[in-house]
Amino acid sequence: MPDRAFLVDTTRCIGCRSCQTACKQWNELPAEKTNFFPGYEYTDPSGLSALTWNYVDFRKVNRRSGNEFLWSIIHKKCNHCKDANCAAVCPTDAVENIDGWKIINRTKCIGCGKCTEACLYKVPRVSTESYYNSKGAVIIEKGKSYKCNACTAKGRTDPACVKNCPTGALTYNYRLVVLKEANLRSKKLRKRYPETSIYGIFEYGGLRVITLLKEKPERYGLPVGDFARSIRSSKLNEIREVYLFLSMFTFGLPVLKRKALKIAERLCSS
Amino acid sequence: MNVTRRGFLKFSGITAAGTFAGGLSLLEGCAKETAKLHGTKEITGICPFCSMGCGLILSVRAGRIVNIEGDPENPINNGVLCPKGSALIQTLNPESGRARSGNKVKYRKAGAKVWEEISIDEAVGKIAKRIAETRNATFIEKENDTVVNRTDGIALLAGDGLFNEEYYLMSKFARILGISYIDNEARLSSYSSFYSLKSTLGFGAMTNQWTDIRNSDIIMIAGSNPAENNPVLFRHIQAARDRGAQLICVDPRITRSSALADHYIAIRPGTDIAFINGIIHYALQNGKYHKDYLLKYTNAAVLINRDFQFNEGIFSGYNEDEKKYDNITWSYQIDAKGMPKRDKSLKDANTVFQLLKKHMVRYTPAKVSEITGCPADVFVRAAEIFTRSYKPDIAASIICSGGSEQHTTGTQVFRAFAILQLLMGNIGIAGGGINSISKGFNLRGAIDNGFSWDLLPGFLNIPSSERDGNFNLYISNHTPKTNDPMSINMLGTDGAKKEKGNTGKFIVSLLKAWFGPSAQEKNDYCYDWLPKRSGSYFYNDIFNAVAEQRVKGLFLLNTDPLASLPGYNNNINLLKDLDWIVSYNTGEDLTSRFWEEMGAEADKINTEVFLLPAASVLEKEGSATNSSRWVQWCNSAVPTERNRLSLLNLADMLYHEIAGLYRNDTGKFPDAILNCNWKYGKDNIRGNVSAALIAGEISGYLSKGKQSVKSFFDLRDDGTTACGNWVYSGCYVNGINKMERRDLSSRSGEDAGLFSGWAWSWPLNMRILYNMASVDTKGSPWNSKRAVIKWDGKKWDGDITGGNWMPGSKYPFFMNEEGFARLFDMNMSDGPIPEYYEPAESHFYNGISRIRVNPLITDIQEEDLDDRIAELPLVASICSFGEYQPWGINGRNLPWLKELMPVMFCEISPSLAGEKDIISGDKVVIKSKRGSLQCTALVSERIYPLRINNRAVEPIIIIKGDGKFNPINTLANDFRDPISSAPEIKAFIAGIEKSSNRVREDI
Repeated sequence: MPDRAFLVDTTRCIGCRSCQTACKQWNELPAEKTNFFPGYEYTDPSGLSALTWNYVDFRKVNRRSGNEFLWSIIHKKCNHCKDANCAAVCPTDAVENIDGWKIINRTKCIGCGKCTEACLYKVPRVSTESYYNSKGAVIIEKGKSYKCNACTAKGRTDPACVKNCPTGALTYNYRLVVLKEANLRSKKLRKRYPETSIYGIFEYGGLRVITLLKEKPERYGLPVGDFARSIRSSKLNEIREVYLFLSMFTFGLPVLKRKALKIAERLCSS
Repeated sequence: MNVTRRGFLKFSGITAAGTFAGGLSLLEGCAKETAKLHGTKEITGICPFCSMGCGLILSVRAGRIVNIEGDPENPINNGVLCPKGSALIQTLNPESGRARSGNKVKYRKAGAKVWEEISIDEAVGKIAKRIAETRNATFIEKENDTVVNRTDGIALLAGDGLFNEEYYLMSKFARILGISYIDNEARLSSYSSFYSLKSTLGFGAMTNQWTDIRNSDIIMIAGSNPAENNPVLFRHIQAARDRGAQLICVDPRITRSSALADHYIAIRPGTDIAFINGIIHYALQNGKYHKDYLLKYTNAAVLINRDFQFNEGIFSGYNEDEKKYDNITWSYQIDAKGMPKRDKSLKDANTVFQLLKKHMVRYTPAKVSEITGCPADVFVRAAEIFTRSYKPDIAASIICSGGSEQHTTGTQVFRAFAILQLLMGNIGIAGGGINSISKGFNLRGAIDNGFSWDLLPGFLNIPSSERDGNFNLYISNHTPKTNDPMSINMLGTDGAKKEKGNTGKFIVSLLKAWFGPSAQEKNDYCYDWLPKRSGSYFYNDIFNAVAEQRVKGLFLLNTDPLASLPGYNNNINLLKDLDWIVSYNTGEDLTSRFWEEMGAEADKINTEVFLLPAASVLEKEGSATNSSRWVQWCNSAVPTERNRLSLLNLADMLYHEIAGLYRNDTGKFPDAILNCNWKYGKDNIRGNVSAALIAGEISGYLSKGKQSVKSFFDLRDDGTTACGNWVYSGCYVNGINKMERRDLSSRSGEDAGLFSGWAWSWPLNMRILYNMASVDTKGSPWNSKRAVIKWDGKKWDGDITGGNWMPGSKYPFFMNEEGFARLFDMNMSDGPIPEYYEPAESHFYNGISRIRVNPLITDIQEEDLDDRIAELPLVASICSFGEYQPWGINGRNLPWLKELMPVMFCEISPSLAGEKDIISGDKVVIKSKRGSLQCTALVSERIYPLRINNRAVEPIIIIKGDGKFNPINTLANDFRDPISSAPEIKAFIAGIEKSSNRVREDI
């Protein structure tokens, strides 16, 4: 099946956060406890977490005069990079590639947090607590890594965030179609937003979330150029092999597994 | 009607890919059953959080709702839900604070300190007794020799969250008992637009429909914030923008709606009229008005009484002592045939057009800038863009709501909107109109179905004891007359022909529906059984009525006056004077547990309280009317036998209990109670009422044989027809529920996209009101690309017109007696033309006249404005956010929404923050003349001080909180619009101090 991708068009986003709640609704994610807006404007929660797989990041308003301003609002979630750092560093190969989506296999995940460290977008997050639904089934398990799975895990043909976007700021299609559309729109937008750019074409070998920005990517806190290049190191494979050997003695206990990983790292670095 | 999962997914696929051309076929065949939804049954419903009326698909497994998503077929939301809608499923969770434990009623005995639980039957018995006692004690049979049959001792107030059938049945129930104090929460906002548009255009409702917004070329959002309160509406705004529409957003602060606006204009809160009048002035000065439209469809050419005057902010006929206008000089000049005199050249100084021009000449761009704080060049640019729509093929829409309604000049703001749109020729056309978003889920339905002290169902006037002493007087007082054969005058009669008008038909049919066989010609169809009001019974006067010991029992339906009216500390002490309170609510409201709040004094309070656990919208069936008049049917997601708590069932049980008491005992005036038309219980079981049965009564039927009527044209004034609400007549015909329709294939009005086959729209399934104004007098549309109706030589094509009149033979504004839309409106009691006055509390003198505040406002204390500036230098405005304040108690505690908007907060500018040493997250204390309130501050560039009179005016925007101390019951003033009684919460003066350091950990 050809690659699919999201198109996030920030020039159509009204920041209603339908995507944020729709994700929680479909995936039955618990709410976070918040007490005020931790970021600019209405950003809440401050970023992604094991409970929040996408969020709307309100940037600071740039007010040029009483009646002129630029206010950027961006929907952020896992970008499903082609050459994903999370997949590269994961010692258990828990980050699997299904139809091009990077999906965490929770039976393999040991909650070491390597993926969080390696991801420049800080997407995968290890849960520090377990959460249960009203029937008592586990929704979020302590010590496992969680992130957006493009709703493929629960069998949707259209992700919940896309379906619930009122203005069409979020759309979903073949990646080639998305890129073409993004280019087309960007040309039209140049007049109103001279600094408009498309993010996600080349970063990490190409992202599955193509974002059409009003301003330069840096203004949105997005890594660009050399920063957005994936990790490639032979040492990673070495660690993985040592870890695999050691993990045979962990009796399946996550605590021991994480210890085994630390030992493997120490062995390889010396 | 159910949708298959496969079809559902297919449609969602289309929605997702639909924004790309040709994306349709790509997802076909991908649909697969998901584990989450496996084996579920799907039921359609309507989202209960705002007045959009978005469709829902409720997935039910074993009587339990497991998933709620948008209905992909519903043309309003196409499957989209906003955060509120997505969080709707959490209202079913225990943590959302539902008052419900099984079907038990919470009961507080007199003097008790705790709730006890009693069964529904016991509660109904007790409540019926209290109602009968209070009614007997306060019943007035005659007043000055007029039969009034009224009790003022009981007040019935409603909020949203109820269906049309419930509002209708409760309004019938209350009026049978003689209760006059009936009002709903729309009083706090939407009535401003209601009275204004009713008087100007004919119906007090949004003129166009949600799905029609996409036809606009210019959209002006003024006094509303759809991106934050009605996000799904932005779907249609964005669709218009994709076609190249310009979006103008007028707001004191940058909102999320302004984020996409092509032109943003900041104005000082409360100066709406100056701004709109400025645009009207610009249009008149530059000849940018649709002259043909003005001449033929409005009263622009009509000559006004020569004695009419306007001087220094005051119209002729002002009585300073009573603070009232006598509108005798605001009349039309009448010719020999009894028709209004017209000068079609528009040159006579007494024509409405010239008077309007003369009135508006003072609103120059410089003046507008001086008052509003918006730079003159920015204003002129906005005026220039908006007035482009005077060309017949360019449509402009105004989207407005509470921001323009909640002022002491609220109704006049809407008058200004209407005048502007009439000048542009934008009423009746696709993509035009005044689209006022009503508040709440179904407050539109509450107004329509007579849940209002001054209106019966279908906007018929409630008889007043002073004027409408008998039936003939009522008919003649409320039947508008015209001698102009070209005027349809829907409610009235043709003066020349002397036939009876429709008002008579509608009221007789209503009385037949309420009193059945008892209503006969010889007893004036039981007209005297209707309570006759004396004075007014506004929602926000309830505590005054309690203080005066007029009201002894309070019946609340999903509403919480203690939380939502000014003066909390005073009001809570008044409640203990009541004998009883019955609150039907989904959660524990503040009013019903006021005695808990009184703490130690509770044992001295003898008020009995009943808290009836209300059925949520998901648990009952019925119809809901959205702001754009679509009446859509909601199905119950739980088995009906499990739910005895819909208001229909409750009203039925209560009625029978009360009737039983009056049958056995000698109470006051039992006639109406015992002989009314009340046979609802299915299988003769009390409290087993089907909503469809009530819908059938609302829609109307023949008295003999119970065949349905097809529309209100079938109604008669001889007692052969019965109809609960003539405006809704035809919504349920012979078992066919038109509100349930899901036909998207209808081709009527194809160019404009009317969706005539989806649900039903009042009146007559008319989608765009006054659509006869969208064509010229030859019957060809002003804009042929977006035709609403077309004359094909024999009949009208497209939308419903209401009759098959030849083009040019009738005036389009069929509800107004003269047939014209009113640029000059003699029926508005605070002035025929909108005039700018300062808010009741402001720092400024009026820049346009020497009259500072709306001259009809009483209790204004004039004081030195400099003192005000020193003491309370800020202009405050109370606003709400969708994520924060949906659907009363039940919506406040939804974890997914709390996460997004955790606390009450205020927004201030960086300059004010710098001056007061406040940073985002600090606790601040906001002060007003009435009290102070602590909340968290959000400092943002979105707020900006405007320069007025060489002084920087700092606005402060307070986001509406809830519960015990919120900005409305502590800070807000009680100055109201003199017509609608909407409180002025959008502009008052306030001060701010920092109270403690930031509460948040990181930024």
